[in-house]
Amino acid sequence: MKLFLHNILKLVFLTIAVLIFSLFFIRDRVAQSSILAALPDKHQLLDTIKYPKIMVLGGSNVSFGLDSKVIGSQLNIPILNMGIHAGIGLEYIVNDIKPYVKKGDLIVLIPEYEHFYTDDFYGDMELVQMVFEIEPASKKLLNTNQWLHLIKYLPTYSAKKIKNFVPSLFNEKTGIIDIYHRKSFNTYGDAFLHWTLPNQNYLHAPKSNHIENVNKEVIVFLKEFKLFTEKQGARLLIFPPVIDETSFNNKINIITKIAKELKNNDIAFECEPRSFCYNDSLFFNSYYHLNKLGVDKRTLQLLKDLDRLKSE
Amino acid sequence: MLFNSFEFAIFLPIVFLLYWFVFNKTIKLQNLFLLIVGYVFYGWWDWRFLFLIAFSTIFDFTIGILLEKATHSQKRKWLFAASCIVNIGLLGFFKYFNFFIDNFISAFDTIGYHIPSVSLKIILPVGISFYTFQSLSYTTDVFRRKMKPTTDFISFAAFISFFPQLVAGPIERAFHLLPQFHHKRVFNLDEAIKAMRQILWGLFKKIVIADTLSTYVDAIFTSYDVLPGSTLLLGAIYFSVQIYCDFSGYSSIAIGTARLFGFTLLQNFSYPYFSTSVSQFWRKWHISLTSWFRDYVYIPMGGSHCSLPKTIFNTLFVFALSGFWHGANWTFIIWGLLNGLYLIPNLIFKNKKVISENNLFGIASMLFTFGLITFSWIFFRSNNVAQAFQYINGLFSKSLFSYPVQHGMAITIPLITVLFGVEWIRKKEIELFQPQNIHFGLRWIIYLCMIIICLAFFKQNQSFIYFQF
Repeated sequence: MKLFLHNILKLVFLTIAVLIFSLFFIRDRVAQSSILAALPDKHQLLDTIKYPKIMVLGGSNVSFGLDSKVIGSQLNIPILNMGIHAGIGLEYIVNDIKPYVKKGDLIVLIPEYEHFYTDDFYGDMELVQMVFEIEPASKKLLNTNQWLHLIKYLPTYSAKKIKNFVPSLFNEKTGIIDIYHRKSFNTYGDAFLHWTLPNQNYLHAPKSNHIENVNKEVIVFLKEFKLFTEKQGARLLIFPPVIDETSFNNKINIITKIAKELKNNDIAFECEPRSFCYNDSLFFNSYYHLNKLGVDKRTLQLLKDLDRLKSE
Repeated sequence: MLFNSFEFAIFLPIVFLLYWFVFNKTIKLQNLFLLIVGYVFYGWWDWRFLFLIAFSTIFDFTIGILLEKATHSQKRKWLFAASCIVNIGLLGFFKYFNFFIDNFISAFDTIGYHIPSVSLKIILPVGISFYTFQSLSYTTDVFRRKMKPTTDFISFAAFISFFPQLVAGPIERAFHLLPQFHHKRVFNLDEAIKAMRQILWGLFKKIVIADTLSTYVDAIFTSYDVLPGSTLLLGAIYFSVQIYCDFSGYSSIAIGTARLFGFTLLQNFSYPYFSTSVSQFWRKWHISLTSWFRDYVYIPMGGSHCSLPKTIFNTLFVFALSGFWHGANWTFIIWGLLNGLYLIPNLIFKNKKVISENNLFGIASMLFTFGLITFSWIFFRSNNVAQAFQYINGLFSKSLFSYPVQHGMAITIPLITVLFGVEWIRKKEIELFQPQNIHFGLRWIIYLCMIIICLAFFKQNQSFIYFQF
């Protein structure tokens, strides 16, 4: 038994050593050109933008689903779409922009539904990639609870770095910019390369079950963020994400719970979730990613809502 | 708790250490500990169903004792019938209630009578098909006097809830596994090392091959209506390999885990895709279920020792039943029937000649068998019968001869080649991944590489296909 445990421990330590080496010393070239790497670019834009401004926060539902230029020019306010990827977690998405919140700003927060009832709130593999590869300085934004949720992704991420590193030694850079590339965003922060592409088949959201419940931590967090924005003299508006009809119906139980919970805590969605439930044909390659027709429809709808709310 | 999860990676070492260092004093302690661990493991999914498994355990344990005490054959028959009704009744309610109701309503609809839908929101308890069959095998064997019933409730309960094979088998026979609970397990270094290798190979098959293929399979089966026939063929082949790696990977992990605790489980797969006939395939695929149906359904029905029409009927019935066991959907029944139909020529011509796979004819037979099996998997994978037929229609179109739309072939082809290459080399061995003859240093590099590759390919929450059954 001793010999067995001894050998197992040796193998475990050897594996951990390789993973630690990979985590800190191997460069993830895939991450450097990924959609996540657009966040520092967006920070640079935030540094130069005038205020009061509109910041639209969310995951890829936001980055793939808006034509911010139209909103900015119609409302005559500088606007930046800060959406990147839901996987970096709602907590990180929000904490990341706090230093940029100024007096008079309008913060439009559009979380994805999964942020309310899954671990997506804390972030997953994308967040690990973000804090270890893209913005190492942002590790300080993470709290203990987030780290505890991220631990399980660390070994996988380290191993993935090795997996990506080996072929990168043999592949030359192709210079091809796809829809998930760092450079797939315009100067308003909108992902736009997919606007000219045809729809792709995708899987709808699975049916929600009765066990799913809203994570109370998310509610507390959003209430605190609301207080924070008010303190800064800014205004927070929370909107439901746009989602395809089939997925909306599949998720109706949990969506109803989310909307109710937000309303009960005085941070209600600014409109009914159903109003952002669009026909399936308006979606590009996921139940959260709109095609150009969908982007135009959503932009106009959001514009109308913002115009109304601005004057309230 | 999934075998391929962070939770299990913590759970297994803790249980292993407690089992061998704290609870190793007596058999009773070992069994009690395994019982608790089994319930924790199962309760991780949904603790409410622990009552179901506990009920099933108490009921069949009691039936076993009553069967032994009963002297009248009529009483014994009644007791056995009660066990069948309760076990199959539970399975029927949780798994098939809505299926029967829906089909009943549609049948009435077709003749013009509309009956309002009464489908219930029933959650299918994980592994119910597996543990009810295991439990039923116990009462059947006691009824047939193949074994004496146990009077040790703890060991019986530990046998039913033995965590490595609780949710997806191998479906163990009571006479094989239960006696192992009556002997004190002693740690065996050689066995433990082999067990770890088996677990590692199982994880590799599941995480690296099956889960990688699943991405492409899901994409192809979602877009089947717009893809060329060549891509649909690729999708069907991918699924053949995916389901094999998923389920045999699971079985390897289960058998390896049981070995770590001093138990030997039944072999569940024996290089099935190297079979040169469908009948051979079914002796090598999901062996524990196939032999269960053979011993408890096919042979009692008369098996092949009756007239040809009756033998054909028995075969088709058992295969249809086996399909239905997989799920409450016509797709599974058709899949089962199709496999039964494949066997009919064998039954008619009584062809028992085994074709060697080491010559050209053998390889051609192997590819033909693989083709037949892959064709039947289309039904298994489709959401409904209409989709399966549309898929087949798309598959056998002119576009079958076009170059397939790229679906990860750069990664999938090397993975499939590695899998079948390793299996081909080791096909004579029961233990596939046992590189003990390789130099120590190289062996460790292989282990390390496999662990890193598994981690690199790892995706969260990738359940096993057979967990849904």
